[in-house]
Amino acid sequence: MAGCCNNMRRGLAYNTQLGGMVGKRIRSNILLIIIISLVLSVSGQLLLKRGIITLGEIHLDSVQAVFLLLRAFAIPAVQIGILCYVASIIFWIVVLSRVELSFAYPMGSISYIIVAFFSRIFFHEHISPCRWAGIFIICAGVFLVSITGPENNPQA
Amino acid sequence: MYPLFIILGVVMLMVCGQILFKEGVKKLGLKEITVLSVTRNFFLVISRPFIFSGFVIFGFSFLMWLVALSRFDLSYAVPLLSTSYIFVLIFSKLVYKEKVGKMRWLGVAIICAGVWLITLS
Repeated sequence: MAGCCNNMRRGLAYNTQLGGMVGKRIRSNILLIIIISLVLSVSGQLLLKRGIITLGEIHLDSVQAVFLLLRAFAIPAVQIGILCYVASIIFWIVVLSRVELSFAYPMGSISYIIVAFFSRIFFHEHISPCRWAGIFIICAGVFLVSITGPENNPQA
Repeated sequence: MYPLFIILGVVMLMVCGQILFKEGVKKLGLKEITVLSVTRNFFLVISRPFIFSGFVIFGFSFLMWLVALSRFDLSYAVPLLSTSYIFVLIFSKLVYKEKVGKMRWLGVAIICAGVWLITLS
């Protein structure tokens, strides 16, 4: 999810025009905030997964899905997962307001690799070489999308 | 292909939510948008129709995400969220008429290739 929400904050960061105004000194501090945000986002995903699998598979073709989803919010792991996720977004907004997007975005996509690593450990997911390749290729793509930056002026 | 549709649904809703946020934030007409100014005026900000509907759509996308998580591997579902970059790029091109450089199209093509590889696995 972190990857998706980036786009929203990208809009905010453009509006404030903060990207690219900060020197290298702050980067070392921001690295810590990036790591905190990544750790929170990855733990959030893992907790959500941990919580939701206790309900079994949810299928959208029955009314039961609504009740299952409501029950999901009563699961402690899901609740903590949501908290982690919200906290990671707050840290991420701080990150985006302080560093260039071309630096922040690829950092965000690293979470895909970390998530895959821990899903293997915690949920015994089988990750085929094909899937690993896909994950790394996506990271490369995100890197390319972000490194090239906006083509036009941010303010419309 | 069916599993992919659920995740695409999550991503579509998310992107719609973000676009609504963007429109809402534009309409706020604030000179400076910082974490502080948004939290200070939280209720004012959230009561705007665009931003409010953005939140509602976000909520739906989260519910859909829970459905996805209940059925798919985490290492399958999470990287597929990167399809949002594709939709956002297409949307910025078609609706906002932003100039999108060749390198960014190439990046998106590479993301597509990665997504394709993951769906194969």
